[in-house]
Amino acid sequence: MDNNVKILLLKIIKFNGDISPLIKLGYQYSQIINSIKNEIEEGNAERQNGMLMITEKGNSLIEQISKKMNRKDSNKWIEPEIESRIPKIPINFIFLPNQNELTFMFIE
Amino acid sequence: MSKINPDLLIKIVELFEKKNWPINNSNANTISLFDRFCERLKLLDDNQKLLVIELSYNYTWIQLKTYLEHFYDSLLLLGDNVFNSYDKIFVYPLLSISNSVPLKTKSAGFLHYMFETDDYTWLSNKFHPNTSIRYLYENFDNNDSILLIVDDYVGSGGTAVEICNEYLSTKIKSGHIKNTNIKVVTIAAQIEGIETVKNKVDIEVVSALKFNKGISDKYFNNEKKEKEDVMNEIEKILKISPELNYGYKKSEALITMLNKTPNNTFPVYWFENRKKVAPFPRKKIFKP
Repeated sequence: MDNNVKILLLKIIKFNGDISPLIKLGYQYSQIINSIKNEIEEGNAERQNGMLMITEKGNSLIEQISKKMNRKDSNKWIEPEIESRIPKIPINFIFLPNQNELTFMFIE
Repeated sequence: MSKINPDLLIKIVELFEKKNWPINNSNANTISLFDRFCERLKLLDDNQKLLVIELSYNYTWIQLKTYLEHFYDSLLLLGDNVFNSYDKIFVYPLLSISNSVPLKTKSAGFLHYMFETDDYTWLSNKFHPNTSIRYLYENFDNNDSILLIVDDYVGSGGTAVEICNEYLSTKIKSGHIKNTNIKVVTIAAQIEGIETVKNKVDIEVVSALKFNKGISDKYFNNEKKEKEDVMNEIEKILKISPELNYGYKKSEALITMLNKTPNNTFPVYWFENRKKVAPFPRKKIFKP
């Protein structure tokens, strides 16, 4: 798993955050649950009374990855929206979004 | 649209593990049940999500490997009263006899076919599977014959009553088949449906699996009212048409047989359109 995704997953576990960024990146719910299970097996997360918590080991892993990725200041605690990143397009390219792929709700 | 967080995901996993439902997809080209379940919950708020998870613990999904086993269980329930007291056991599908060729392939036809293809002699050697009314006319006698009408599910009981009435008005040599000489045999049935058939045509529905209503028979007083309020909100979000609220005829069922869900089941489990995928759809309408 790429470090960007790994740190995102660990932070989602830590803050019981929304997993939809991972879905937008193309992961399926079943894959996410398998990744969460891996984190539990590796001791980075644990289940306590039906709640999922990050462990000390998990917290230090977040630190380590942040350092490795050279994240400083606000970048350290605000996770970039990697799922919203799009490939660079040439300056003269006219971009027409696909109606079915709009990320906001379209009210009929 | 609300979010799905890891705690909720864990709750869904616990449910799936308890129910023995698959979490990973067996076919990479389709959306897994687990993903469809999560997608449905994503449309709901926290309370609504928790209600669906709670109700799902009572959900019955009869998969192919146990489908026929449950049917045998129902046949066994008929007992010696049927197997020893009659010389001829006629087996007909729970389908309208006025359309001898049904417009769609139906589960009743599938179960009926099992009497032609499988060896049921271990149970009885008196079975006469057939669909012909003429065959009934010529061979059925209230003194020594019984008619089993088979299907996999009785929901509100409406269809079963209609079809039983057709058989009751069918002529045989000695007049008409008596209601005591007919039994409806199903894999699963709503208790309300069994009672409707009993009250309207006085025919017994024999079923190995019998179900109460998912909310109104399980919760009482304030708790019931709370759950109903939450379910009403869910059905509003999904824009369920009034005749299907809480399932057809308000059956409040929690069942899927094979990969087809009766419309008696709460629509939150099966209602889908091109944009919204359902965990247990009736027809696959969703376009990924």
